[in-house]
Amino acid sequence: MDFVKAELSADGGLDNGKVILMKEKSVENQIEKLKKSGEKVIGCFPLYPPVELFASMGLVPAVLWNLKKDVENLSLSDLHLQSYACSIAREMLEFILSDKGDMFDALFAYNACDTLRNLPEIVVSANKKAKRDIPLFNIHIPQVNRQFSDPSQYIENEIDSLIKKIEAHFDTAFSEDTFTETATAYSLMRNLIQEAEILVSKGKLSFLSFCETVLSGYTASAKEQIDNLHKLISKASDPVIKRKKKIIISGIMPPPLPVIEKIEDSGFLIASNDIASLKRTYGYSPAVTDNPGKYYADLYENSFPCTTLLYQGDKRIKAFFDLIYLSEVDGVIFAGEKFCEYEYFEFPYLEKELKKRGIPYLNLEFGTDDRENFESHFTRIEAFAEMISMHAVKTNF
Amino acid sequence: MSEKVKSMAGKNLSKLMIKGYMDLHEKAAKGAFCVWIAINVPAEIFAGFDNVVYGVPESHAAMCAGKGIGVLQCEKAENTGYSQDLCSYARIDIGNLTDGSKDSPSFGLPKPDLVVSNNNNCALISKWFDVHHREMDIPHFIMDIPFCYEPQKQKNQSYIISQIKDLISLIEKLSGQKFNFDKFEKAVFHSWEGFCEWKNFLELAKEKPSPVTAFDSFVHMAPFLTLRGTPVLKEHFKILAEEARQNIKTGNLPVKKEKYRLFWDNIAPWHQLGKMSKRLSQMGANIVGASYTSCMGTVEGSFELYKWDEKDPFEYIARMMNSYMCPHGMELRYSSMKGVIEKLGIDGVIFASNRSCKPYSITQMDQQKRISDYFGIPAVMIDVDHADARKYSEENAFMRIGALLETIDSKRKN
Repeated sequence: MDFVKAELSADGGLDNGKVILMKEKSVENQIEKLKKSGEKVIGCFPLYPPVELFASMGLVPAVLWNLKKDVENLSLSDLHLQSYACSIAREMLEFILSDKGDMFDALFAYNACDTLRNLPEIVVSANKKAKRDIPLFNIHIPQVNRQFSDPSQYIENEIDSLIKKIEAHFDTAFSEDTFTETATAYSLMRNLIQEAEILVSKGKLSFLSFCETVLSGYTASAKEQIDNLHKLISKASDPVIKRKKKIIISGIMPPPLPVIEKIEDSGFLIASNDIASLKRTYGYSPAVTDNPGKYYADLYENSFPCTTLLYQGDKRIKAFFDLIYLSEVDGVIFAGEKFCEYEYFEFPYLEKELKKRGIPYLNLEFGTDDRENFESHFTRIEAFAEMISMHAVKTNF
Repeated sequence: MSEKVKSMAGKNLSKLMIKGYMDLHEKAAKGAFCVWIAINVPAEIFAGFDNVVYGVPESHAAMCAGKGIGVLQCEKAENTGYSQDLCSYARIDIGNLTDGSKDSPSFGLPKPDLVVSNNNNCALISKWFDVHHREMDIPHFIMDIPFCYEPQKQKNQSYIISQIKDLISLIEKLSGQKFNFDKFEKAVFHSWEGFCEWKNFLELAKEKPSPVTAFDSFVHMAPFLTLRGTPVLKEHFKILAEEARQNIKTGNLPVKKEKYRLFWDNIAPWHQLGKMSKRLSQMGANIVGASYTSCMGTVEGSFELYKWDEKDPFEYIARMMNSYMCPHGMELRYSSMKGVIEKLGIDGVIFASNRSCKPYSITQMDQQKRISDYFGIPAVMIDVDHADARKYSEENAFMRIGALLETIDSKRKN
């Protein structure tokens, strides 16, 4: 079955813990929908743009990852980026440089990684050649260790400067009240996601439908996403099939949907996740305030740790193992994104520590070519499932 | 570089480097506070202390690659789980530590008390140094240097200076030593003088034929990384420049029948320096300059020497944290390369797409087109890895270089 083109929809159906194929939403279609309803859209380079701020200033943020379905090939990206650049960057660049890029009213980037920090000028230069006048805003998010240096004033100044640029370009005015309302909505949204995550951990929702809903939120307003999450949560029901093997999945993106389906079909229960586009994004909400500088100083300091936030190295390791301990997992699946060196640098240490604790793990890797033909991944997942069953037998024995 | 007998500068370099590493080990063994740093951390800071020494893992890794043991070291890291897709410098460094540096040409580096990374050359070095931080249970200070799409702004300079002062406070706390501003200022002055002499040396590449090759500059940049802030920089680069001037007079030139003047963009291919320079010389090709070494002592958008007013050393070293290529965006790099290509009378450019260095390589495809269009000169892209010889194919590279030279010939005929 060609999952990329699957049209089965779970709308209106119950998610009783069985894997149900959702209609894969295309990012392009979602942005088109927003544009047709008169919204302005700001395309944001991943991973952690200040979405609340944009939303409060009348720009719907579209975070540009999860684009495999939207880019058939990388013919435009390949004119600018070598094949060893990470798949997320290549897919994003392809999307922005294609006709789909016309939909954006603005773009935003920050120093997310060595590759992404070099893309703004490639985009601006290409857009200039194509006579496309789309402003690109960028800020620097400090990466100092908070135990040695205090960058909060720097962040506040960066946010302040960003606000002024948006105000000037869009002839709009920042409002403290609107920011407070928006931040509250995003906070509610994250709480709902966490509620849904708990349901997944109990087997009452599938991880697949959870991922589909959460990822679609990156190109939706907070209000629409809150509605989607309520719908998702309403589908929760007691599991028909009891999955006994608890795991967490770690990486930048969740595995492709067919691979998630296979993981769940193999009897795994995804007890939690350490994924950048999932828990590392929704895992923390700053205290709501009308001061965006303080809000983002709080967010970037205290967010659920990520490998790409350099100052969170120690916190990340602790958070990872706390998650394992609290979720009482039987194993870990790493979903590596080619070629994310930020993740690659940490795998050996994590694997060593998992071995010490006697926790089995599986390392999968996905790149731009991984849109179908997942058989080799399926085989490894099945083998991993058997390994965990054997491990449980030995432990009990 | 293509000569088998070491020149005076070459002998002086060997002497300096051997002594440098031996002093480092000796002082560390006698209790000096040891810091490992990324190459663009301002090492002059350590001269402000009585007994603080520093090692540079990147430089050590380059040396390992140059001595032909890069692959061996990489494999050791890979055998412990580090991906081949990681920077080869990192793999060499991590691999080197797996067996107590037994294969290192310098007995490795002494165990550090602190590691200091810097993220504007590449942010990944912070992830790399985190490996040491965890394995050796030592503090890791990250210097956060905002990426430059335009010249360094005052707000960023102030931000950098505040971090430098935080670092100084940390070292004082950890080492129990007091920072001496005068000693530090003197060290900054030594670096500044070193840059001035370095630029004098590189300027000689304007001569036709050039007494200087990029390969010379790759080799001789080493003291700047490991002996920064010392008077030996000025002395050595003076010797180098004087020797090059002599070579012009005597006709003892690296590429006597210089037919093609080329420019190299990216890190040096350390494992190929001798081979590549010899083969190019036989083809009449001289890589007379490289962005990797032209940028030393300069700042964003130009390879001309950044003139220090000799006032505030903190301001100067904060400015110098951008004295490399990778902290700069595409426009600044384009501006720098344009200037030097014109100055040196370049016939063609080699863009080395470096598997192990995305910060350097990512905008090269655009740069190649722009440089080629602007100057009407051909440019070629070859695949390299600065320290992992397994990711380099000599024949593949030279097929493209050969094509570059043919294109230059063809343009000349027309």
